[in-house]
Amino acid sequence: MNPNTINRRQFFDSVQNGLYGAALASLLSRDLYGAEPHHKAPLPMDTRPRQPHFAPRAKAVIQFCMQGGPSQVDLFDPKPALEKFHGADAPEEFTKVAPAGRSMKGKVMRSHWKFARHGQSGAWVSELLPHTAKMIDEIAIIRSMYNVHENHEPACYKWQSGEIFPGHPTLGAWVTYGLGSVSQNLPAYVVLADPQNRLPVNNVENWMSGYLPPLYQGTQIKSEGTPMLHIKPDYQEPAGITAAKRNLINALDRLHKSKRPNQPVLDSRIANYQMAARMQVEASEALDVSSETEATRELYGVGAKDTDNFGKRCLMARRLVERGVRFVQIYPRGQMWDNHSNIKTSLPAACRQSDKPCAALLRDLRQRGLLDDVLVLWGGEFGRLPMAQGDYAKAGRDHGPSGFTSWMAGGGVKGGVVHGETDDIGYGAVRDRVSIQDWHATILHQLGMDHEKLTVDRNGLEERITHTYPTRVVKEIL
Amino acid sequence: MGVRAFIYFLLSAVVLAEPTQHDAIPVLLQRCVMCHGQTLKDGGVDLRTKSSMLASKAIVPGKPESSPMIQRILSRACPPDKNISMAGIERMGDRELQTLRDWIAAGAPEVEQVLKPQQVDPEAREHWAFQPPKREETPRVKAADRVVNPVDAFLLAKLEAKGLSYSVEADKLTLLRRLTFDLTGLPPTSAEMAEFLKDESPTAVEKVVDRLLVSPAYGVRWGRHWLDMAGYSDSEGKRNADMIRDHAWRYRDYVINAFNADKPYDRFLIEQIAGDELVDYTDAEAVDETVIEKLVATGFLRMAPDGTSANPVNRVEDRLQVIDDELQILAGGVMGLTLKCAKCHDHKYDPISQRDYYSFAAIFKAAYDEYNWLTPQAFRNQWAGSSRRHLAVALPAERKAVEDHNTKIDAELKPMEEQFKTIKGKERGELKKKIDALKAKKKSIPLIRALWDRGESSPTYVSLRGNPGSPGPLVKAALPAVFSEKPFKPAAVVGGNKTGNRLALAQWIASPEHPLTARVWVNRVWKHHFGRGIVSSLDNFGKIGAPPTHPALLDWLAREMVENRWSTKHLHRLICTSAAYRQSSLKTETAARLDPENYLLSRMPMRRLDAEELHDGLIAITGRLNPRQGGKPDKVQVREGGYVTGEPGEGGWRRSVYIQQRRKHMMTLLETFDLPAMNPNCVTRINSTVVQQPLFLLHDKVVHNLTRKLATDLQKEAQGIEPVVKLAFERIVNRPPTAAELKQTVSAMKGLEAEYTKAGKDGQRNKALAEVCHALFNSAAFLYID
Repeated sequence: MNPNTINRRQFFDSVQNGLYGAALASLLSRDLYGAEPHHKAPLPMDTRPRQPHFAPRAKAVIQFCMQGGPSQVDLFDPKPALEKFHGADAPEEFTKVAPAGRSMKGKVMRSHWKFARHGQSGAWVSELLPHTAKMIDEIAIIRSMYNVHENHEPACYKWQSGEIFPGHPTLGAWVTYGLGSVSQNLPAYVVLADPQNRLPVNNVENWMSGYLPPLYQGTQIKSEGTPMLHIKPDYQEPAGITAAKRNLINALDRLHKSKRPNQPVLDSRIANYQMAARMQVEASEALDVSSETEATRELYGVGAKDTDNFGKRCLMARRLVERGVRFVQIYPRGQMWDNHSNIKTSLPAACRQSDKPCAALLRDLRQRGLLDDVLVLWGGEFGRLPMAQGDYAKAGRDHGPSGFTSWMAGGGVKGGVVHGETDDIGYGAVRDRVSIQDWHATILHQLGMDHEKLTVDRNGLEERITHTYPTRVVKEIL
Repeated sequence: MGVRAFIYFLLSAVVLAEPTQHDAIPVLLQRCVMCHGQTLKDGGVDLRTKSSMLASKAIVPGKPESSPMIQRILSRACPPDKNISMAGIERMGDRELQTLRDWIAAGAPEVEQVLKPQQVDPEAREHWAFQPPKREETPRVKAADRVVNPVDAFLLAKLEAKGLSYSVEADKLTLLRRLTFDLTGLPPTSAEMAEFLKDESPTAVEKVVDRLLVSPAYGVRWGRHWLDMAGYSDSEGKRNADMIRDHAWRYRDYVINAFNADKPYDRFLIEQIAGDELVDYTDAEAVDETVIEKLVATGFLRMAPDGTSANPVNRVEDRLQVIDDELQILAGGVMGLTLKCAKCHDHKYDPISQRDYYSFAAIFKAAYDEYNWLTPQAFRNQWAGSSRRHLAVALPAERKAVEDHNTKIDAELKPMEEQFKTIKGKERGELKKKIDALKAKKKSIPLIRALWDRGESSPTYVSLRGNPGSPGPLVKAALPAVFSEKPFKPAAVVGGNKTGNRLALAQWIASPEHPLTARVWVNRVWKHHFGRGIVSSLDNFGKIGAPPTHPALLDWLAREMVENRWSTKHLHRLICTSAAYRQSSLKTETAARLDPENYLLSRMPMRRLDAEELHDGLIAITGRLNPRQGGKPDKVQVREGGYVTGEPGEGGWRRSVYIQQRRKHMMTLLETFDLPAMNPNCVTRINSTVVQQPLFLLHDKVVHNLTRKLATDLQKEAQGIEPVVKLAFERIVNRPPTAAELKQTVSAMKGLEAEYTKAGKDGQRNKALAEVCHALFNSAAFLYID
């Protein structure tokens, strides 16, 4: 085994046994009513592991960021009534549920695809997702998600940060702020976006740290070429030179420190340079999927035309959480779920690229005994309308924020559960509605954190990811 | 509750049930006045007051169904569909419409609200920061020989009480490096080092401080601190587009110039809060430098992120967010008040009520009016009734130069445009290009991104729970009751129709008796010199802010500054020549035990260079610094993988404050070393130690190339390995190497030279030296200031 690899036991134990001691509870939820003069607790300026508020079920998160709006009525939320209304105006009793002041009109369109029950739980899954269907007993499907805006940009900000504007920390930033990261040789929060730079809407703002320190923002790692900014010199230099130079820096720093006792900052600086050197090695190693067996690579679809792009990153995600990375996001290329037209061909294409790798990641994590500790999230900023957009022959579906599906698996989430309901045509969530902040709070809860206590002071306000919205943890799926 | 009180309660509930103008007008403000109000009076209708409604025949009291206003709302003629999203409004809800009907049906009654004076908790009023600063007697201390000025007496008194004293005095070069970075943001030059070493007079330090304070680089450094607090940015933020703010840089120059001129702090504040009310800018011919300066200064209150340059995000709520940010920047940054907490409810800890918040906002209403909004930029599909927040006020000569320039172009254009009408085919296309190119050469009068009083404003109602849809009582402009219960009196203004409200506020804030203003400023200056404020929560002097570690010193400094014509440079002189500032950063075992956090200043804190010092230091040391100050910012370039770099303008790189400051796409070097994103501003910079920092400094090509250039320059000045290594130390870490450092480095350089020889490259000496310089730029000796 590679000496840099933290084994599973070390990974999941190092937090609990208090190796690093700093307790999140005392750090982040300060008693403002205390009689003692109030000194603000300093913000943690590193990503060393920290204790959560209570015993966590999940220790790491992998998020499939299916931005664009996957069509729930074609994937996870079958609606027989669409047959009945096909071609007719969508009944107003459903469409008046409008999150952003505009109710959508249009002719209802049936799904082009068949649904069947799968697994022990008998949950319905579309024929477009044959691989996911096989893993359905690991998955909790939430059919009653809703967002508050119908445009990608604001809806994505809401989905990532809880508010419809940029400037607020994203979920991954909050998580790494709260928990730090087990690995000090890899970034705490890794973003695996399309290697050809077909970035999602809002670009790098999907993983910004807002008013949290920049060390909590997502680090983009490329699955091809140079994996991250400045991980290697962007100039040529003989290897012997690099080594000699590093030795000189180290020697000078030690001489400097010896004349300045009791200055821990100088120690952490030296450690920081050593970590940089280790990260260079470890990042390359962690991202090298060629060392995986042929069977594993095949499982993820690495090397196959449709799945290579996404599958490689799913496999990297597993390797990263194995090595102690706290939060990994995987983005598909561009807006493949944004099926405004030709949904008949564009949606199957999106499924072909992602279905097999997503299911493979669940299966692989399960086989390696990691799935209980890794929370896997799938979903977009919203879903799509049950109505047609454009002529039927080439129709797609427009954005549907009022009701859509996302799923969670692993990390203490119940498998084989279907939570919530949309109306008869799948336009809006009507039962057990789950808001974006409910979803955020539920994720934090699985990681052992209380969304009301994970706060940061900004100009005198205690900010949190759920802001001041009414919020509840979706306990039904846990 | 007694019986009588209960009956009174019932009665008042009944009385309240009948709507008054205070129920109707907030609805009209939200839904109608954008077309029928202060700026636009469509159809001659003005719906702001009952009398204006009657005058424009919008209502028939007692007869809602015959009132044209109600009829037009019911028929959906108002608001017109096409305008609804452009004007940032929404259709009236049923409940609101009912309120209007009921009010008209009741005969459109008007009542005068009489608000009871606020009761301020006498105990809360006693809080130390609400008492004016007093000059206490300077304490006597044992180590009298280490007292340079009273600053030392106050500090030593506390140290001695703990059985401590100052650390030893720092050596001269350490002190010079500290002073030079601290006051100018740049390292000392070799000549400056030599001169200071040579000067053995007792006033050598004073001379250096004076020299640095008159250097133009001083304003760049200390202006930057102020710009952090103001939230200076060259972009609007909030939205993905992060639109560029074209004229914001003029405010940046104002701030830097003000610091260099040591503009008295009271003047500095008054100009930034109410510069528009200090001057008459209505007569274009009479505009002079002073007028321009005062208007540019108000850019201070235009710095908050603002996404309202697009219809979907230009709603009343969005505008209120901008106003809230601006008020908090002012209240927190200048007065240490967490005013923002009182937006939705009374402040939980400090004696600031929700009514205080809205009364404070009302002072600004004639400039920030959420119902008569000025957008930051022009944009597509913009509401015809809106205008922008730029003033086209320029010096007559400037204006004339632009006009002359444009007249000349117009003259050239005329025959071309004549010709354009007649020709056809390919030539026509070419001519069109020529015409467009010429048109692009036209200049426009420089604009000022300003805040100005417009003479009148919408009324201000308290927003219950912070929601403008739930109006509470009507309030008038007033200071928070804890400071003054007297009616608020506008100040006398010059030129045009202005309320004088902000000027009155500014004069109050900048008055010598104000309990907070001077304290908050001296505390901020102290923080930038010593790494921590006497009050460590710079923007919160309230009950849950940090208590001062040295209250008497804070007050003494505040009085001292005010009595010395509010001079910031006077403060610097006191602080920088004090023995406290001259001590070494050596942390002895005793000090580590008795003063672990250095609250008592038992030594000078060691600190890392901040983002700008690192950037500016790198280019200064390697001889690439272009000292040109002011003007438009140099652009940034976003490269593949998210790498953001500055584009050097003519004459090379300028200091980082002159690189476009965006809320996103910040230069990678600066962001890696903790340049903050302005959301809305930055009260205290963080100082992180993260792995991206060594990766950047080791692997960035630009940094590496700079060391090559430096090596070439050093070789011209010194020959032989040992002399050139010594010179590299002097230039980069501003001191000679210790014997051990010299030995280590010389041997490393020989090794590097051998490596390059092995690789068969030319110019081994130079390359090896460059690598030594690169190592030095990566060393703690460079990155930390003792």
